[in-house]
This record gives sequence, C-alpha cells and structure tokens, in this order.
Amino acid sequence: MEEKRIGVYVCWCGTNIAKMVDVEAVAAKIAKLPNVVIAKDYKYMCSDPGQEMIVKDIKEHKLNRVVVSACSPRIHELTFRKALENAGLNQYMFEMANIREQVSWVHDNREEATIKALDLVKGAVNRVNFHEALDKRSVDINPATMVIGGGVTGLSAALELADAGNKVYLVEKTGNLGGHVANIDLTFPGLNSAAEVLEPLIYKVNNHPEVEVYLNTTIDEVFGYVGNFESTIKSGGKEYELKFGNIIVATGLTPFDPGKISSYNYEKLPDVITSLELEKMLKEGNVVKKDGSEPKKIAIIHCVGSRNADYHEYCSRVCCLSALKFSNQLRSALPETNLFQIYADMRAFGKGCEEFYASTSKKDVMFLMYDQQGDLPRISKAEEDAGYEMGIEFYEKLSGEDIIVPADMVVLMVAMEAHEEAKEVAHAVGISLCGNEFYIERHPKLDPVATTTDGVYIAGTCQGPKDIPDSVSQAKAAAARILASIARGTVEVEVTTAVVNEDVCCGCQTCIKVCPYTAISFDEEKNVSVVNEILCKGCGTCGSACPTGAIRARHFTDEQILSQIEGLFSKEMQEV
Amino acid sequence: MSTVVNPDLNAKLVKFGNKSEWNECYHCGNCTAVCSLTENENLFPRKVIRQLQMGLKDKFNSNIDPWLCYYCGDCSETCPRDANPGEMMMSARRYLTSVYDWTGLSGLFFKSVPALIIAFVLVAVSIIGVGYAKQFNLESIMEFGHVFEKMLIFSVVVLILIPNIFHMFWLTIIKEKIKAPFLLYVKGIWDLFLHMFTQKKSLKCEKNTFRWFEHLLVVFGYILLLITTVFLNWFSTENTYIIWFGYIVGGLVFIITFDFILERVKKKKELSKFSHPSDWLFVIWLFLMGFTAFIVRILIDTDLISNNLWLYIVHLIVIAQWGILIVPFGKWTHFLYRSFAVYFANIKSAELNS
Amino acid sequence: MVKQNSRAVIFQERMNSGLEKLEQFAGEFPEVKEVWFATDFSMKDKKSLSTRIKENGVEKIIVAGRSPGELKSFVSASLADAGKNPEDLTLVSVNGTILSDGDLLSVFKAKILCAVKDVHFELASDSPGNEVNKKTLVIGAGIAGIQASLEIANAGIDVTLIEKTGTIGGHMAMFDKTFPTLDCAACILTPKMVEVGQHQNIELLTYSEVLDVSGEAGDYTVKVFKKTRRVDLATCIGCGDCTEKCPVNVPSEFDAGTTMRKAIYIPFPQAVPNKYILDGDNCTYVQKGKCGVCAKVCPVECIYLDDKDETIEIKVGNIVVATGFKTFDAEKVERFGYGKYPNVLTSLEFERLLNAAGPTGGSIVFRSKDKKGNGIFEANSDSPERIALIHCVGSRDENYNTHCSRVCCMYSLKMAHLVKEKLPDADVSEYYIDMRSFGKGYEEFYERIKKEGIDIIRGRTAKVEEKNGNLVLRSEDIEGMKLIEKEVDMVVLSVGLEPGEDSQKLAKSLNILTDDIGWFAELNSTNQTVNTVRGGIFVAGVCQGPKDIPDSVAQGSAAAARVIQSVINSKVKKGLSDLSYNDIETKVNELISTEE
Repeated sequence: MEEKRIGVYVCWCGTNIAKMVDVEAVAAKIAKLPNVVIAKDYKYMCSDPGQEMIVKDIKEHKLNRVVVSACSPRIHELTFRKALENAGLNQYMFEMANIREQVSWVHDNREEATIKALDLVKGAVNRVNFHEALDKRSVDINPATMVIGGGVTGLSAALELADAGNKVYLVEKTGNLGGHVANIDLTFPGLNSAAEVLEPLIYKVNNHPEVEVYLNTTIDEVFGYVGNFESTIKSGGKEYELKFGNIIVATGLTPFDPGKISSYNYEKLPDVITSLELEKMLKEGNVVKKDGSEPKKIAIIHCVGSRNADYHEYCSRVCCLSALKFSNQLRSALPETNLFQIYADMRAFGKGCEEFYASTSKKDVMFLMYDQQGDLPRISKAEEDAGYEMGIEFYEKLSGEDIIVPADMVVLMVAMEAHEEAKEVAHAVGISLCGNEFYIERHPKLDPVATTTDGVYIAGTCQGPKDIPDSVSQAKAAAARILASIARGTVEVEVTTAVVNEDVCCGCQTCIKVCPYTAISFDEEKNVSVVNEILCKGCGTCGSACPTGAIRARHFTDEQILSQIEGLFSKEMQEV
Repeated sequence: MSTVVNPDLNAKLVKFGNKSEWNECYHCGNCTAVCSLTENENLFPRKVIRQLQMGLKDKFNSNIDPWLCYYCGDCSETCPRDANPGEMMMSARRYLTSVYDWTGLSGLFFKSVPALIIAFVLVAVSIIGVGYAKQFNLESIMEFGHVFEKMLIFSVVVLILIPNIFHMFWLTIIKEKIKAPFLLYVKGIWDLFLHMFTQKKSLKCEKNTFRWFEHLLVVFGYILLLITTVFLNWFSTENTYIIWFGYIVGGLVFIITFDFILERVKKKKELSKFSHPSDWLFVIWLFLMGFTAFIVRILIDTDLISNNLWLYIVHLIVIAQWGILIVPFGKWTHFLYRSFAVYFANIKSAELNS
Repeated sequence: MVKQNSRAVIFQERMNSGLEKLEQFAGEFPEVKEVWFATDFSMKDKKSLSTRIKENGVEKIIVAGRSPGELKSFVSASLADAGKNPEDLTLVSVNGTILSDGDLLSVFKAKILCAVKDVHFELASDSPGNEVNKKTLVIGAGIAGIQASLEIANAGIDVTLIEKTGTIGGHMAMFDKTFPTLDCAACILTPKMVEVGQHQNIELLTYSEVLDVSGEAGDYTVKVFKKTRRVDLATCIGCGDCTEKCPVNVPSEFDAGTTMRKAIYIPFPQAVPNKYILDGDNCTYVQKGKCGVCAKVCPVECIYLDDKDETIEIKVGNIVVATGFKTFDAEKVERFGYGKYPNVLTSLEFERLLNAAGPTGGSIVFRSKDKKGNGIFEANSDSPERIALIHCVGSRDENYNTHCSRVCCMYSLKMAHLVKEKLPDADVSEYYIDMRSFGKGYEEFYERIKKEGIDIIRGRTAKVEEKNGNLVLRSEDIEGMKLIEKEVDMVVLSVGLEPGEDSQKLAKSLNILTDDIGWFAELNSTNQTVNTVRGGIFVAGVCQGPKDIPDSVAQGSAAAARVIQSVINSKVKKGLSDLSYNDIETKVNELISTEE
C-alpha cells in the first residue's frame, strides 16, 4: 500500500475565521498528526495564491491527500477539488473541515473555538486517510428542457432555450399561459402596457416549433438526474412520457390572503379590495364601488402581509411601486378623487423608480406613514353623515399624530407568497425550500438561479418576491446555464452513489422498500438488488437499512465515517 | 382622539403661495436639521409642512413655529426634493395671518389679486374724493392728512391689530391649555419689544447678518419716519433739525427698500426667488412711502408744492393704502406676529419646561 | 375584431423636432378615422372624450406620446363610458429621449404602423438576423463581466475580456463582507477570478480600453487600446523585489486611497493576473528618464521600462458591456465636511478599513497623516468609539443625483453590524430616509441589525461640523420627534453610485443610448433589460442602473444567454436601430397573412 501523505491547510478567511480561531496554532498542532506531511495557514485559501500553494505542495511534497479547513464545503469543496485535479491528484482524495460556519461564526470563546476547530480538522484528517480515488462520470446532456410554470418567467426561459433550437416542454398548471402578469394593466415605472410584453411572448411560445405546451398539467414525479431526467405527465386525459436534460422551475407566487388581518375587515366591508381587484377594475376602465358609484376618496395600504413577523417577515419588493403606479392611474381615471398612500418605507429602488415616486408626489397624493410592525390600521365603517364610507385609524409616524383617513375605497397591497404547490414541486424535482417556502438557491449572491440539485434551476418569484424585469433576468440567466451545458454536450456527475456487493446481498429487498428515488431494482436471476446509478442520489438510506451490510455508499463508507468520528472525539490536543 | 386628515387644505394653501403642490416632501428631516433656529420644542419646517400636508387645521392654527422662521433659505437650497420648505413656511405665515384676522379681509387679499386691486383703487378714489371735497386746497388737505394719519394709526391698532393679536394668543396659548403664571408674561415684555424692533433671533441664521442690518435700519427708519411725519409734523414744521432728520430717515428708507425690490427682481438669493403679490406690495409701498415723503418735503422746501399738489395727494394715497390695507391685512402684520410669536414661544417653553 | 376605419390616434402632445410628420403619417392610414390631441380634451371629464368616441363611431384608440401610460386610464374609462371595449386601446411610446436621432423616426412610424394594424411591435421587429462571429467581447471585469464571461466561455465560446485596471474583480473585490449573508466577498469572488484567469476560452486583456467600435450586429471590429504594463506577464514571478525598491508612493486605487502603493505594484495580493504592473503616470523613469531601479533588481528581467502602449483590433460577433460605476464624489456635499475633516469617510474607504485584507487588517482606527500629508490608516492608531453612518449621500437628491442607488441602505446596515462585531462597545448610529431592504433575506437582516444595539434613526443628517475637536452632526429624529446634535468620532457617508467616467464616450463608440443620468439604456425596461437598440450589444450589471450583486450576476448571466443563443443559432438578431421601416412593414404583412 502506498504511503499516505496528507497536506493540511487552515484558512484565515480574512478575519472571519482568524478572529475566533487561532489558525496558526491549529496548523502547528495538526502538523504533528500521523501521516500529515505538511500543515499551513493562509489568509484566503480559495484565492489564486492559496490554490497555487496547494498545487505546488502536492508536487513538491508528493502529497496524496489534502484537507482544507475553511468554510462550508457547500461553498468551496468544488474549488479545492479542482485544484487537486490541476495538480494531478484524484479529486476525491480531499476532505474539508468547516471551521467557519460551524466554529468561528457561532462561538464567542476563542480558546474553546480553537479546540473545536482542532477536533473538526482531526476528524477530517482521520477520514481522508480512508478516501479512495473515484472517477467522475460524464453523462450526455439531453438538449430538451422542462419548464414548470407558464408565467412571464417560464415563457421567457422557454423562448430563450427554444430560440437556440432546443426542445422545451412547458408545463402549466392552469388552463392559460401568462400567469399573474396576464392580469396586470400597466407596468411601472414606464406605465407601459403589460399586455404588450406578454402577448408577443405567448404568441411566440404557442407558435414555436420547439416548444410543446401542456396546460392543466401538474408534475407528480421526476426521475433521473442532470442531463437525463424523465417524467410522466398527464395532460388532457393523455399520458406523455417526457425525457429532458434540465429543469427550470418557475412556479411563481400566490397572493397573500388579507382576510388573515382582522383589522382590515376584508370581505366584511364591501369596498375593501386587494391590489389584484383594483388592477382588474383599471383594466376594465371602471373603478367603482360595490354599489356602482364613483369613489371620492381612495386609500392604498402598503405592506399587507409583508414586513410583519405575524404574517411574513420579508418585503414583497413590488408593492410600493405598484401602489405608486395605481396612484398615477387613478389620478388619470378619476381626476377629482382624493388619493392616500399609507406606507411604511417607500422602496422605490429600481431604475427610474425614485423619479417615478417624485413625479407621483406631485399629483396631489397624500402620503402617510404607518408602523407596519405595530398596531396595524383599523378599517371601520364611518358614521352615516361623515361624508365618507370608511375610516382608517392609525398612528401616523411622520407627524406623530393619531389620525383617521377617510375613504370610500381601500386597496390592500397584498404580499407575495410562494406558490401553494411549491412544496409538492420541490419534492418532485428534488430541491429545497428556505424558511419562507420560497425555493432556496445554490448561492444567494453568485448563483441565484441554480439549486443544489444539478440540472434543476429556479427563476422568478418562486425564488423570492421580485418584479417583472428581475424575473425575466433570472429566466434568461437560468437559460444561459442550460444553453452552456447543452453546448458542451456532456456533464460530469458525482459518483457518490450506492453500490451493492452482490456476494453479500441476501436478496431481502429491504433497500427497494426504503429507497426514496426508486433507484433500486431486483435482479431475479441473481437474486440480488441492483442500483440504477442514474436515479440514485447517494442519500445513503439503503446502506443503513441493509441488514447484511451489502450496500456501500461510495465516499461515505462506514470506515470513512467511523474514522472521522474517532478523530473528532480523540483525546489528543484538548488544549491550545 | 384621532383627527381626520383633510386633503382639501392643500388646494386652499396653493392660493397663499407660489407652490402648486404640497406633497413633494418625502420627510428626510433635512430642513429641520439644517435650520439654525430649530429646537426640540420647535421642529420646523418639516412638522409644519406635515400638518399642512395632512390638513391638520386645528393643530396648525395653534402652531407658533411658522413665525420663528426668518427665511434664510438654507432649507430650500439643500432640500433634496426641491420641495422648497422656505416658501412653504412663507405661505404658512400668510395663511396664519388670515386665520388670526377676525375681519377675513386678510385672507381675501392674500388669495385674490382682483380684490386687492379693487381695495387699492377704492382707497385711492376716496382720498381723491376728500381732496375734491376740500376743493383741492393744499393747506386743508395737509391738515386733513395729518389728522387722518393719527386716526388711522389709532383705529387700526384698536380695531384690528389688538383683537388679532388676542386671537393669536387664544389659539396658541389658551387653546393649547398653556397656563403660565402672570409673572412670565411680564418678564417677557422686554424680549417682546427687543424682538419686535431688532429681530435679534434672525442673527442665528449665519447668512442673515447683512440682511438683518438692513432690516434693522428699515424698521428704525420707518418708525422714525412715522414719528417725524405724524408726531413731529414734518411737512409743516419749521424746525431745521426735524427737517434734516426727516430727510435722512426718508432717504434711508427708500434706499434700502430699493435694494429689497432689486433683490426680488434679480431672484439670486433663495429668499427672494419667489415673490407673492403681497411681498411686492410690501416692499414697493414701503419704498413709495419714503420716496414720496422725501419728494413732498423737497417740494415744500423749494416752494414748489402749491403747484404740485397732486404729489402730496399721491403721498397721502400711498399712506392710506399702506395704513388701511397693508398694515392691518398684509405683510406688515408679520412684524407684529413674529414678535408676539417669540414672546408666546418663550412663555410656552418656560411653562413646558417647568 | 375591430371594424375597419374606426380607429382614432391620440397624440399626447404636439410632436416636435421633426416628429410632426408622425401626425400626418398616422392620419393617412385607411384604418384611422381621427387624429386627436390630448389637449383637445379635459382630463377632468371623461365625457369630453367619450362623446367624441360615440359621435365618430370610434372602436379603438391608439395613444402615442412620450409617456402614453399616463393617459391610459382616462382613455379606457372614456371607452367604457362610451360603451366600447375598454381594452381596445394600444399605447405607443414615441420617446424622444430614448430615440433621439433622425433615423428613429422610422422606428416611430413602424410602431404606429403596428398599432394601427393590430400587430405587436415586438413581433414585427423580431428579425431573422445576421451571421455571427462566434467570438465575444466582454467589456469590464467586475462581477457582472466575470459572470457573463464564465457563462459564455463555459458554453465553449471564445471570450475576450477587457478590463481597464490592472486586475479583474471590480468593486466587489474591494468589499469585506457582503449583505445579507455576511460571507466575505473575497471568498466567493476570488475563485471566480481564478477560474477566469485559467479558463482556456477566455483571453484576458487587463489595463486595456475600448477605443472604437465599427461594423454591425454579428461582425464588429473593436479597436482596443492596450496600455503597456511594462512587465512581461509570462516571465514575472511575482516576487516583489521591484516594489520593495521603488521610491515612488502614490495612493492605492484598490484601497480607495486609504494606503499608499508604489509605482510598480500588484493591486492586491489576490489579483488576477497576479503579476506586477508599472504605473507609467507615476514612475520616475517613465516621466523623467531617471531611476529604473526596479528593472535592475528584477531577478528574471521581466521589466521593460521603454515598452510603448499599443492599439490592437479584434473582430467579434457579440459585445457584452459591463463597465460598472463610480461612486459619488462626497466633496460635493460641503456640509458633510468630507475632505475637510479627516474622519469623515466615504463608505468605500470605510469598506477598505473594515476589510481583513485592508490597510489595518480590519481594525477600525482614526485616519492619520503620513510624512507627505496624505491621509492614511495605520493599524496601531486609536479606534473611534462613536461612529455615525449617513444614508443617501448624493442619491435621491435633486441637487446631485435623483436616482436611488439601491445598495446603500443594505451596505450601511452591514457596516453597522461589522462595526459592532469589531468594536462591541462602540456607539453606532445610522441616519436614513426610507429603509430599502427589499431583496431576499434583506428585511430579515434589517430586523437582525435592529436588535444589535445600533441606533437606526429616520432622518437624514443635514450637516456635520467640527466643534472642540469632535465631529458634531445635526439631524432630525423624525419618529422620536426631536433634534439630534450628536458628537461622534467618525462619520461614514454612504455614497451613491454614478455612471462610470467613460460611459458616455463608450456609448458613443458603441452607438447605444444612455438615459438622462448616463446609465446605458436597455431596449425595454420590462423584459429586454439586457438588450440595447443595437443587435449583438448587450448590457449587464450596474452600468445599466444601480443594482446589488445577485441582480448584477443575474443580468450577467442573462446577457450571456443572449450571446450563447446567437452563437448556437449562428445568427444574431438585429437591433432596433439596425432595422428599416420597410423591414418591419414586410414583417407586419407577413404576420397578418399568417393570422388569416
């Protein structure tokens, strides 16, 4: 057996790690562990000089295993694996110890944090001793893509892909394309017609030879992985078996139900309406109260369901500007009507939006600020002779006064929520949700459209509230990824799947029952289980359920895990 | 108790100033913080603007703060929304003047230029009518003029100014339930007169030093001119000292007022960028008073007055218009309200702090 | 279907500057019965229009003008009032600011043609396109340019990436941590920079600028000015001997002037390419012919002091513009005292001061003066105890820039947090107008910062003055209904973003348009935010308008999608300014005949 020569690198991450962990001490101590040939610390291991250092050391010191103790492997495991490859080492001969998210960011005692960091690095060093070289597998990419959701995001993504000559299966749950934008009259800040944007998109999609549209269709299950997905969908009473290489999820949003906020008396008072209802009225050119008469006073309340921990803590990003847009439209439709904006912070951040806010403020609109986290406004019926229908009572922050806003019509700017079926879709395609039920991206900044599942991308409001331009940008960004992978033709995939040792397998089929991805089948002839590597996601469930220990999860073998635990709890180096 | 906001006040305010829109302000607080005169008890212009935007009429009517602003223009120059808070404060003062004035004429004259013109013409016609009645006899007209001036001062003070000041007192102190001991009022009297004649507070605005000095000269010049013409009977006196004194004072008033007019024409400084009709009337009539008085006396001294009787009549018309219209209902009142505002504000803050 | 000869066109205002022809043009269509002007009607009375609609039997209305949307609700209400379908209404934006030169009259005409013929302009202006040169140019190597380059290169397409400075990375490389996740900018950016540096499909031209662009969509010839580095990239080993001996000291651009660098230098230790660069403007040898010590000490003889700048020509099919921004010059706001008081800092300077790889290794200290009087930061100086952050400096302000810079609220909150982390006992206060924490996880971040003992005060500061050696700021606490006169040790001005210095020049040579402020104009603000009026030229990142990192990245990728698509198709779509009226008319007729 070859001699094990391990190099250990401890990252400062600027001050991120170094301020709470004595990185120099960690490197010095680890250097004394068996098989560790070299242990160094550096300011930014992930930077060019940092990676260069590893490559140089591998060559100079003939290292055959590397441990980097830095941030979460989610961020940089791939970076360092690549560095190993550049140095001619198999990329699986690498292990990462997370001493940032799991140590320096969450502790405040430097000494104890350093000991914990040491423990984690010891575990990693122990584990890496047992790593085996694995070969990445490269699979062909099926150039077809499934786009889930036929809103403006899904349509844009589908066109971007189809225009490059690739097949697109566009799956829409409802009977119409267009999503929420179909109900929007004008867009902000340019006050352009939303239909001018949407209708050409729908026309192009419907007439595109490469796009197959499936309306009234939902996705139950998707099998396979990047490059080779497959799914059976039911549409119009027929079943279609579709094969595709990538997925874009663009399931969009659900508007918040304002009935949850009792003080707004939505559906109890006739003329308390949502922004969606007003949008419809504007489109029909007929803004009237329920009794058919013209409202003389209209109040618009912002942040309904947003920015309040009782409903949603997040900001819905578009309501401020939509409300300003409404003011402009209402001023045009009803020139003599008094308009009130009841807002929290005016978030006019987009291009041309602050200017739009300024010009709207010159259109005789009264802006009033309320505390969206405190006592919410109370809408109640006004007295008979008050001269208005409803009173909205709240504390106005800019004047410091308790006031009543008179209104004949109240418009509630309802928050955006993740689509009610986001969870089911997430399960079907194998992606995760963040705390707010929106889909979680691979990296919030540098990879906002990818997910942790290769080949599955998210775009638009299903990732978080956003306006049309930002949704479309994301749609195109997701398409860019897919186009690049199609252009390359193949993609490398993880090989950390399960393997069955046929000699040990007793044919009990327990693994088949527990596999969440139906990746295991039974070979009747040999009387053993067989893992389909395309479907297997390496979750390890079968391995732990197997009574005979016949199933091994590659890169997560018992040996590797146990030795890591041993390292973690070894009594060595308990002080700094 | 919650107040109902009133969007209609906006439309009313537009008539009092040079701003057609009152909602541009996005409440960054810059104006209040940049102002050298603001204190915790007097957060203007922003809070004043807020009350007006929201139509909180009662609150605003009881607010002294608009009078504490001397319009140096800092707020307008630095306003990020070009909302022109300085001019909003000016409009607020005009509006308040109309609120205090029990006759309602003040509001009418501020809002309606035609009404103002009619009033000015009426006064002029009446004076010419008097001249006609006196058969355009110089001496009897001058005699009338002298008596008229005294009567005018007395009646304006008793019938208009004192009731209006009391109305202001009622709105800002009584209605606000400020119960200050009588001694505070007595103590404040000195300050009241000091501010009335010197506008000492405006010195806190750095840019205002020169303007303050000009203003001081005009106030004293104006008062002295009043004394010389009305009480020392300048036009009829033979006393050389008084004659020369009158010349100096009259000259002073018309030189400085000429400069004021020039600034409003040039519009270079923030405070002179926007001129309401009432502003023009004020400076022009102030100028005309000094100027015509000066000329009349020259004509007397050169014995040309009997051939130029019409000039005295013009002077009398200017005086009458000033005394009947501008002093009780126009911008002149600011001089009074401003001083009383400082007086009331001091009493109020002394009471609130005790 | 709307009846023939029943349309009316309403112009928002009398057209001027050569656009009068539009009125006549619109009237000549057989479908158009009436041409009206908005001034013909009282906007306060919808009857004024609805009676005209009824009288003339108008079924459909086309509103054309600079901002036709402003009339839309009035017109649809009038249509409804006249008993017509309120949705039979088309808005035509003939925007003089976006389409300013004479050629664009044909675009306006085409737009009116489409409206009259009930064809979407977007469909009619969709051209089959030109042959495309597969090579792509990306201008600017900040995060947007890096993202675009990587996406394109990963699709197997050759990319030339041009960067004005000596290293890629842009502003993001200068930041310490990024909001709202607080992961360090270097940790997420440097691997991307490394990838760019090593990518076999990316040719990197640092220290270079675009001089001129000619040609048409799919076939552009770009003149590139390559400033000489005077250091041979291939042989330089980055040992640093030259820097050590160089006698010149100038403020470091990368450190936003908070430290000094030599005339031969590496912008920062993680720079890509990680090779030295000789700044000719400040080098004694280049300027005066004396010195040359660096060349003497260089162990590999890679310094060529007499190298000259050169101009090269490259041919590309697509161009992605990602030139970023510059920060607002805080000295313009005199009353904040920047430039006068040493401890009034811009946010970019403060960003460097906070940075672990910055001048002080991340400790927050007072500014001191070096021997020559330059304000610098030294690690062993004292730390301030009271720090104030002022939002919206140079943004949302009619006196400077009207636009919102979109990132300042969040980066200010982040900075406040970092101060608290480094100086837990510090008194930190923030002064804002509206808190714009709109992105994913931003509002949650704001809530978190509020609980960290930072005074977050609504009310922008009006002035900062020095009294008795202390900085005193004056602000209104709007929600607290009081004035604040606060003594602090250090003031950080959250400066806004402005278009880059050369953006107008670049726009001219690319023949693309900019908006009133100077940001590059997108084709359509709703769904064509990376396209420009010219085919094959795309914009991404802050040069199109302020945005944060995730949004810049998304745009970088979106622009890349356009490029990849055109290369896969071997065709690049023409831009609006490349099309003639006849092109569009033909397409309109085609679309109408397929409909039938």
